Amino acid sequence: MKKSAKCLFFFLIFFLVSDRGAFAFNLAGEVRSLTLSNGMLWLVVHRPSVPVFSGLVMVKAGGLDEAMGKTGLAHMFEHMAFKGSKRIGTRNYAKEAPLLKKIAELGLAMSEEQQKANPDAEKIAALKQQIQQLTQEEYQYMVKNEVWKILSVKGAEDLNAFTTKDVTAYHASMPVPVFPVWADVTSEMVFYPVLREFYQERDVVMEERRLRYDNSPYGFLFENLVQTAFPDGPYHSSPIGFPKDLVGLTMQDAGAFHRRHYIPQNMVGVLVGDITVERAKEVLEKTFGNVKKTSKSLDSGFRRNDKRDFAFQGEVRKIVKFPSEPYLVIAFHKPAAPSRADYVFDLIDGIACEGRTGRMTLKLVKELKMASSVSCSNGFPGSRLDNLFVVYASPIKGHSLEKLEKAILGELDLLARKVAISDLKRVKDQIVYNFFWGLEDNMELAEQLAQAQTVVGDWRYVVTFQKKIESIGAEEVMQTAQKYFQPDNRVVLYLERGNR
Amino acid sequence: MTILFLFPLSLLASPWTPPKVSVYELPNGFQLYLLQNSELPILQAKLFVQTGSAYEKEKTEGLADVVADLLAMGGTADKTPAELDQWLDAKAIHLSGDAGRELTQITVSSLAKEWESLFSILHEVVTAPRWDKDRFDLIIGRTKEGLRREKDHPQILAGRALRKMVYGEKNPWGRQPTVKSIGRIRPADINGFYKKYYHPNRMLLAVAGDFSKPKVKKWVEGHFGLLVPQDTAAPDWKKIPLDAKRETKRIKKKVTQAFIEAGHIGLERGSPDEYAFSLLQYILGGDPFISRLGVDIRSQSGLAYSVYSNWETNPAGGMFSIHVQTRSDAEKAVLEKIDFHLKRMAVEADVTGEELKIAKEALLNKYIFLFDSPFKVVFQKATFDLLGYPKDYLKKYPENIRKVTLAEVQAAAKRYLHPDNLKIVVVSP
Repeated sequence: MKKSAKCLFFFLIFFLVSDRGAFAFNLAGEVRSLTLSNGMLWLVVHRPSVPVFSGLVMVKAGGLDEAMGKTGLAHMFEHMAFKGSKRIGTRNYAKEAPLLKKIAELGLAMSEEQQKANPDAEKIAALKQQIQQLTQEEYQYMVKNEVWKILSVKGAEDLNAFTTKDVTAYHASMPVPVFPVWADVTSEMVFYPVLREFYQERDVVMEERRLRYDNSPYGFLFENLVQTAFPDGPYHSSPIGFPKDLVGLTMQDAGAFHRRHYIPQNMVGVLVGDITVERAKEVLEKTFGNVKKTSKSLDSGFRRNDKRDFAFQGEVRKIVKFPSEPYLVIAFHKPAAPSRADYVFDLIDGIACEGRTGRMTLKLVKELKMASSVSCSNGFPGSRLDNLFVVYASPIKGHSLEKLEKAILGELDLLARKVAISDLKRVKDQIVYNFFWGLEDNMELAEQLAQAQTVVGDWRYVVTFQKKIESIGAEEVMQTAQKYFQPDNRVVLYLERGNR
Repeated sequence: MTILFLFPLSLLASPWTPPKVSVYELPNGFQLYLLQNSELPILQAKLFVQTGSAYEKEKTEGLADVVADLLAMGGTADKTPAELDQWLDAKAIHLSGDAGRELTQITVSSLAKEWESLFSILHEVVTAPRWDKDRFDLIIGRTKEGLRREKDHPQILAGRALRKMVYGEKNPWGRQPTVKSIGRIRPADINGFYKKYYHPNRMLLAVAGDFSKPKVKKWVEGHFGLLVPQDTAAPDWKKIPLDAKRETKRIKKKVTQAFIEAGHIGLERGSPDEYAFSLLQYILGGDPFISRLGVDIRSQSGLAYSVYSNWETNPAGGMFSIHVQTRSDAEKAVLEKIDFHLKRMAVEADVTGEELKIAKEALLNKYIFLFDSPFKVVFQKATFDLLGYPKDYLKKYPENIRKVTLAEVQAAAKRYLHPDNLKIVVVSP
């Protein structure tokens, strides 16, 4: 299963509704919203063609809500949500509870030791052994992976969860008759989790980190990018967390994180498929709606100093070594969605990088043959705070990163001086194409709506997007490029072959 | 098919029937599969050609994919590559080529209003390729770079090595492109390969989305219908016997985990044991949190993030494989666990009725997701038909799964799992 800490190429995928021509599917009219009695918002898109549905619950809690020294906690909790509740995953919770309490105490001592400058290996091994023994004892009451088992055996596809810097989401697609089962199990996961096998799972997350970051050139590169571009603040770390923090995460931390962020007003649910809002309402009230409304403040406030401005602070350059072929990254600080500039950067992305005739692809890949690929990403590493426009490229053997950098900067410079009507038309047409293809898959649509609602604060972002884009002309694109593509607003990273 | 294809899931209140694909064969052998659905104003077509890397001659590994890429990017008699790129982007039409081992796909998609442009450009690139030399150089250069960069990904490295060990370096299912083999490809090889395999009687065009069936049918008959069929000698794919020897290959790399890939020759395509074997597979490692490998190695021991087993079939004999990554000092522990689970099944035939019940329920309940998009339905049918599956394979699948007995699964475990013949690749520091 890929419970991904999606952070590498994460950005909002934008769509819009076309007002050219009489298209059958009018998204704005199809999205029905429903607020449960406890304040949790649901969006429902009724699509009766196949008796299946995709369900997704998104929590406005991600890596950026972690306290200092606790990076990786949002993602760690995401893993724990699959371990069950007081009702699911157990034959006798009352018997389990005292064991879990003991494990929590031992785990706290173990984590403290593991984080010391000179940890006592014997002490750690002894504590680990004790935890393993207690877990063995707990196995007589535990029903292994029951959350997963119920959903998967009832036909779940796309059963997974992901954590980004901005959000955490839990999702599955299922045959429509088992919708009540999905609602029941998923509400138990997010509202009443029991933190079973926490320390075994922490080891699993350590393996995930090794796999995705320590042994992957992309993971390594983009983790370095956020650390370089954001010298501190919430975007300084990747969602997976720093190893030194990970070994210190405890059951107490995960419990506190959950209590603070997993409250009805801080979540949105989306259903897309063969379910009407009327039918959904009754089931949702009985499951997600049975959690009490809380009066807690929604202010994430966990971290300090998240309003610091990193833009125009002088160029930052860094060379990092990794045992792989080389890569180049050039990034620029910019405002997040739904700012006007962010829309313009979506256009810039299209002009520079997308399609067969994206300018940089044409120049660097096809004409000069110095890169095997050039890509752009607008909105890295998230959109709740000001973020980056990123260009990354892999050179063809024999071409230096210096030469590649120069060529890319040349193209960006040209963008600030020359944008044709045909450039804009091509990108705008492509956006219409992306919009309709983005509706094909139920889950993809659910994710876009949840993302817009959670991060931008309104799912209608998705349907008003085209109008905004249509209102942007060549002059504004050039001005925006001029303003932000400045040396003192730039981060340049070279990944060269070598030992880490 | 005259029997009504009722959705067999008893969970559903009212029966649901997957949409039916309209199947046509033109006089020249060209096949056309259409599935119209106008919910969204979009359209996608895939031209399947019965050729791929398994058809390549030794030492030109990678040729089939270069041909497919060059068809999509190399221009036509009428359009230079640059003109083709501009023409496609101006209409927001996406076109790409991709060769698998047995089938090559040229895929094109657009908004519905561009349907005629979509078919005309597909026809043009496939029937009048320009084989532009500059684009040939571009594709060769990028393919080589891609292969160089594959070495940076330990999983891919290990997977490639395993294939070689299981099938042998010379078998079409073991061979793989290298920087060297790509470097040997000449423009003449491209045209030769194309001339040999790109014939209407080896093609199937599958279309789904918002279009008019009569119009598209007429268009295809008037264009692809005019191509002249030609016979090509059938490939001589030798069956690979199960190698009797257990073997481990180590690849040293600067990583902090052991990347383990293990496998051996498995099930033949079309075997009547397929259903018992796929249930066995599910029980062993097909699901991350229900199967034995996942429960033991991941949830209970915290030794891996990803651990699973897999199987494929092909004309040379299928492959059964296990994939896992673990911290480097846990390699031995993980390999021992894999052996333990394989032996428990293969030697002791220890599979329980409860496990079988769960596996059946899961596979049957997920069955509807083979049909939840018109695109999936039509492309999947095209693939199964071209690979020689019985025409009613998918229709009979639930019934075939349902009737598997515990004794059949236990027999499949003894017959198809061979821990003593396992080939193992470990990429580690």
